Amino acid sequence: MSVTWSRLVLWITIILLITITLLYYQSAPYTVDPYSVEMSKMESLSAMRDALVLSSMIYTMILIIIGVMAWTMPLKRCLVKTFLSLPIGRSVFFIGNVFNIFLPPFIVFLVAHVFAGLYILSYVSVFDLLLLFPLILLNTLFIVSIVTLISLIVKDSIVSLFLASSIFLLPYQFPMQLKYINSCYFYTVTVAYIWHCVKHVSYSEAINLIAVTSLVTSIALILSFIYFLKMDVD
Amino acid sequence: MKVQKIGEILVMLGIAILLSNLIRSSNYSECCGFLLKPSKEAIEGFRLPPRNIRFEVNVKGGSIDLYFLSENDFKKMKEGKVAYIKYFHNITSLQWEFTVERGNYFILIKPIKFTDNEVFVEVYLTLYGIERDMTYIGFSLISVGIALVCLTKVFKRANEFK
Repeated sequence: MSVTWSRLVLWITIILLITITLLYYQSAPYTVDPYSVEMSKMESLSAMRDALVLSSMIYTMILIIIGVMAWTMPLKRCLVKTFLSLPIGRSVFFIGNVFNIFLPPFIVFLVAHVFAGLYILSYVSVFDLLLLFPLILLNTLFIVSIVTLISLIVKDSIVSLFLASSIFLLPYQFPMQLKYINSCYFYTVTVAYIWHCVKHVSYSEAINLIAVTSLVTSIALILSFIYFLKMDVD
Repeated sequence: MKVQKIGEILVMLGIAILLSNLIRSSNYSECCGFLLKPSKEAIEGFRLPPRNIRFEVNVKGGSIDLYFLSENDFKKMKEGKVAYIKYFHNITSLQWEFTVERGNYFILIKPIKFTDNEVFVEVYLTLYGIERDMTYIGFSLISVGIALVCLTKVFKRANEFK
């Protein structure tokens, strides 16, 4: 039964992510400058940036739901204890679960954007598209690390869902610190990407955002790992 | 088992592409205007999806020659050769419906008669219908996925009989 459930989640993730990602690439005539390749590139980039920002909302929501379910459900049903009775350690279980949460949505999201960039926008700079890989990976790990920490501490699905969603999706209702986390998350991918490709954003701003996001991700993951090693799973 | 999973994922990919294609196929209009002086010409480029396209032109203050060019035609024109997909001579208004493959296309406008000092040309592009290539991709993925799932099941059954 659990296999069917996980497969269903995978199917829904694939369908939702691809459908919504492609929806943000309009089926419209994109302007092409006949005499300037740079201008055409700018047009494609701005279309891609809009699609990235808009589709990242649903991507975040999917990651939050999968992350919370993957941690709180086994804890609630005491499945962690069952898993740990097998010849695997807590660290292997932790790493396996983190990979299980972020890898399928990450691959689907990345592939959908690269496909749309190459095929729909005909954006031929493969190097620029490859740059999306580390940036979306960092973005994904950032969300997953915070969701993991919240789920392990709170241990309740509904409360964790609300808390994680509030941090990422309702920034303006919360204090400055949380707002900063949210803005880091939203702009890391897009700002760094645009900085690289169009050079409109300052170098230091892009580097700062990447550094802060990496730092928060590392701290949250390390804290979650230590907490999981010490926690009572009965 | 792995092949069956790949098949299932391909079916899901196909469904997602078809679904997004259906939702993306709402009508879309784009308009641009050109103010042309004697002996001046205008060129505009678009990356068009393979949908049904209604192309409307209204000319005020004279008449024009209009060329609809593919990317290759445009390159040839730059080299001084004449090549085009469609050519309209001495028009003051136009309504043309066509379909194209996905790619870059250009319209070249040359004013030929002036009743005023300037010619004002309005171009409307309306896109409707679904994107044909995305539909093919979607159906192809679904077909390949179903074939993989069926083949896996057939082989599994054959092995059971052995």
